[in-house]
Amino acid sequence: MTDQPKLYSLQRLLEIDNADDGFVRDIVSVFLNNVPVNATELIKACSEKNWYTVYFTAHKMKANIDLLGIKCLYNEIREVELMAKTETNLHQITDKINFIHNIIQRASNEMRSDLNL
Amino acid sequence: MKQEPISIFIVEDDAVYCAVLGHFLSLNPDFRVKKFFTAKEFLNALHEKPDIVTLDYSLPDTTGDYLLSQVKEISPDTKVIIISGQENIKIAVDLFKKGADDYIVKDGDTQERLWLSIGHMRENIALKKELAELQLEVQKKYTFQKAIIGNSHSLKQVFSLMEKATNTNITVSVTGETGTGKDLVAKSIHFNSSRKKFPFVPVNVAAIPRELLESELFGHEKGSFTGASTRRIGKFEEAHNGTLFLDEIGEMDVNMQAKLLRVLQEQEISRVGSNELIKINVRIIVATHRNLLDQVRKGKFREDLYYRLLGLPIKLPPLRERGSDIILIAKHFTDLFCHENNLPKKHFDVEAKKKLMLYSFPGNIRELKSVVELACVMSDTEEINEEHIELNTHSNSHFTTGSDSLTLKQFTSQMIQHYLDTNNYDVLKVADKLDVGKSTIYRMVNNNELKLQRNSDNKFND
Repeated sequence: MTDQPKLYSLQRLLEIDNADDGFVRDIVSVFLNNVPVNATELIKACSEKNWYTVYFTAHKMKANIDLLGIKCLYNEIREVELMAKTETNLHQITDKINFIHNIIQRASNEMRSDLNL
Repeated sequence: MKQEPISIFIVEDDAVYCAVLGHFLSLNPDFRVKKFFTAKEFLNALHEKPDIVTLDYSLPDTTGDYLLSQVKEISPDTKVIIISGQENIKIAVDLFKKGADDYIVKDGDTQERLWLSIGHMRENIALKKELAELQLEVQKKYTFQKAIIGNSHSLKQVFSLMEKATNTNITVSVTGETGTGKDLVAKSIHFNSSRKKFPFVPVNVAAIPRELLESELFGHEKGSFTGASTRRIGKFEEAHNGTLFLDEIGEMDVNMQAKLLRVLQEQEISRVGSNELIKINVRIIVATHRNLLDQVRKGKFREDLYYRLLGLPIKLPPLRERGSDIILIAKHFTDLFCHENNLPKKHFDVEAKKKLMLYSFPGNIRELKSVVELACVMSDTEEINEEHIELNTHSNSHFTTGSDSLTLKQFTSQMIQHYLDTNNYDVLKVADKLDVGKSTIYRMVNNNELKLQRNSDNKFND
């Protein structure tokens, strides 16, 4: 363990009734199979200026980011969702999406090594 | 009460959330959970008519609106819980209008709220299922041929009249001796008519004290008489849209008859102590073991009410005029009694059947039932024979066919025949018991007024 705080937290998952090791591993696996792909889709849709897809993908990722406790993205993902939906402040959106992608990859790596997945 | 398993479909394209919900709902072993990632998969499975669907509002291939309308069209009893990523009151209100049963926002408490919501719906679903089952059961129970057993010609006439009665709202008057099944006929008519989903309210007029009958039938307002401490709904109101069955109508007090007549004519009642008129829509079935026309002649029953109530008259034949129905019904009661008491199935031997067929059953089916039940208890094997059948001794004085129009000669010969039947055709014994000369009996036999053997035209074996 390093002293650096984790990017994610399993607390929300563990609060669910009967959440055992197997359940947590299952959910994290599903997360790892889906959310990093979503993050890549976000970049692609953004480069194509396909704002509806950006909005839709961000909207879907939002609940997962909340669930896995990736705190530093709580605001970012909501901002991206709103910007894409209303098509405002689009000059900021690329940076934000890159940041989200970056964090998701790092958090995923942490999860993989912590849970030996 | 054990709760039935319920089927839940999760429609959710977000794999993580789908896994969480799936895990969460599978905590309850009674929940049968199926997951769908796309609207297409879900629509293909909708014909299974799940009890509950949780629907993600934003799916990639369609909208929640459309899916909701599809669910309501294909499986209208399915409860729909919309789960949405955003709190949007306008959308929520719109979805409720379109028939959604709940709207839950995806956040930290989603699972808890879903759990609660499903818990409520589950009670509702269980009650609905129970109600549907009970209604079906009642209907089955009162299907004519199931409720009323027999193949005799006289009974078939009764069936055809009952069928006519079910198709209309006509008042029905059922007459017949005690124990012939008047209330069964009333119930069967109700549960086979279009009123079956509304109440069937039976009132035994003879069992209610004269002073109380009015408030029993029409209800009363609080304080309308001493002891009326609360407002009470009467039987007429209770039976609204359904059927009111007035049993033993012949016992009704003449004053009350006038009030009843008014209600039947006006189709409205007012509670005792109230001026308010309440419209009622009630089918009336009355029953009596008395000859009402006779009562009219004697001035005990109002003539105008008699004609009002006559409607479609159904006369139930007494058991002794129903031939081999006696054996059919006896069999039915034996099976029922043995089943209810965990006894092996029993059957009657030939002598026992003869004994039943020769008896006059003044108490009709009610009496037959108790005779059969006693026989089942008395018999230790699977066979019921003559000795197990104990006929009511009280009925020895009840040997007539119930008709009042007998000549003295017919009366005498019936009486002697009855004694012969019940004393194994021992002429000496009967002569001694009745205090007549044996030659008198032999003379009557020679004149074909009496028979020294059992009736052979009765069918003992069916």
